Amino acid sequence: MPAAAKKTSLAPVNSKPGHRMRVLVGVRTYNEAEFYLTRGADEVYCGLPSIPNHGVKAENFASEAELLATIDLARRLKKQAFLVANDVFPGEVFPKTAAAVAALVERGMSGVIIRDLALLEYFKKRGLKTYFTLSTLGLCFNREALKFFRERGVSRIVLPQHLTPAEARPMFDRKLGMDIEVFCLPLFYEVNINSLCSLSCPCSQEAVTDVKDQRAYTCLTALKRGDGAGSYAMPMPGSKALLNYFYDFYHLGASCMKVARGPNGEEVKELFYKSLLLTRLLEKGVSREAFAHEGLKIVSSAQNYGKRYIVKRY
Amino acid sequence: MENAISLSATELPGLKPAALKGYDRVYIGSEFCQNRLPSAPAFRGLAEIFKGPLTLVTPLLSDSGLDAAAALIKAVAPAKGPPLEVVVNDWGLLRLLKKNKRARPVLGRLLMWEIGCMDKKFLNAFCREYRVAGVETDNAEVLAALKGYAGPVHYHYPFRFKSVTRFCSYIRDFNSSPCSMDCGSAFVKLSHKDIPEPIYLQGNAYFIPNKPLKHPAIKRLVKTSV
Repeated sequence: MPAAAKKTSLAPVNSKPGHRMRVLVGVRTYNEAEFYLTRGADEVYCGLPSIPNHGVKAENFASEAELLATIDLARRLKKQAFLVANDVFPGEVFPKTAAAVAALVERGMSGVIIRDLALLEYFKKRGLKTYFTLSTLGLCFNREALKFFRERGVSRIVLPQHLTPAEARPMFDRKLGMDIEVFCLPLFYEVNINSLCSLSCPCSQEAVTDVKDQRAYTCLTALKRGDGAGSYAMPMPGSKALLNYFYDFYHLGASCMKVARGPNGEEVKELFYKSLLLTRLLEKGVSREAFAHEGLKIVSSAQNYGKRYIVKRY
Repeated sequence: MENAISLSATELPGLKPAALKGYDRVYIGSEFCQNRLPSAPAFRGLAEIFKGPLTLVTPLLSDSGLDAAAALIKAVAPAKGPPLEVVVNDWGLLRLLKKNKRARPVLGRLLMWEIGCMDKKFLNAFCREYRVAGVETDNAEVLAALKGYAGPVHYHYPFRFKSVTRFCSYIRDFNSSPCSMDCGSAFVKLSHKDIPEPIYLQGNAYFIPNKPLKHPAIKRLVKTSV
């Protein structure tokens, strides 16, 4: 059994004006990790195909050796590297996979992004500690749910995209002691609740080399209504509303901004730079009006960053 | 096999006892929208019409929704006799109900993938800890994955859940905002040549057609009123 890993110390929740949000980026290679960690990212997260996670194969590291090198890189730069294990581990592979996660923590991962309650229990029973982040797939929508996960050892939650700042305000109560991570919503927003959507979509497809094989995005398609009332587009908030939400989450005390990984490295790079720009604007203390004005120039569509499967790594 | 019917709160006004004839249990509420919970008087009105057991159905909840659901359970859960069965789709509500002996949770369809895939030794212990009385599903794949789960499974038809949003197409806002339930109980067919099968919009959730199943683990069939 691996020895207990020390809990990683991260910056506390800070809602003071001008506070700096940590920047987390999903990466697939050592080179990507080096790229982001030397250009403004404080943290990277990495997956392995052998450890269940929500990404397709092209979003994961190709080898454990490269992941271990990335851990060492983050340490040298005094930054963080997290393991993403944000799927439920099936019973038949649970013992082996949970032990593999524990071994990576012992090897130096800064923490683990999780969804599976059984994995939290596994660590608790063995007296193993690490910095657990609850994935947005974990469905934490209110203060009681936040306590539910806090009691099980979670230190950070990724706030669901489908919560407004007004709805989420009680979850930012500092007494609850949870770090809160947000997506840069004006640039990255999912139309339906991610973990609860099984509509036809390319997001769950492995690399598609022929465009005719790629599934349609149901959530972005104009659908014909059977009641004769014309067409139907699945609804989502507009860009200005999402900029305002991002502004409000920052001022509520969000401690981290997340740039999700994707199979298209160039898209993630562009998303990173735009998200970083919006984050730095907030940290400068610009007014809501100025943020919305500048933000609208940066944001053209929250749906620019789908999975288009140019999987060449750099 | 127990047979249940699942009603929307919008169907309660003018509901006739004949509509519930032949059913052993009635579900009332929504697994998908916190604005579609019945009021306490409406729930009690249903209990006057239907003398069998009722199940209160609840969705994912924001903090205001959680407060409303907790208040509703407090108002309608019986002080004596069997506890009120509550379909729970929110970890926060499950935590709140842990010590409430007047209510008994059943894990809902928004959690079915989570618990279906989960290590069964852990799941069974977790269900004992939270006094979970059963699991809802509408999916044969989940049913197969639940092998090893010790409790009963309740199977929904004639629709299978596919997706949900909290940003409602009727009010063009998140569903903690005021709403007059204009969505009603209608299922609107949606289609496109590039989408493999038609889907059905009901409120803020999407479905495909589904048929009832026979399986040793299924102890209750739940028919959604259409």
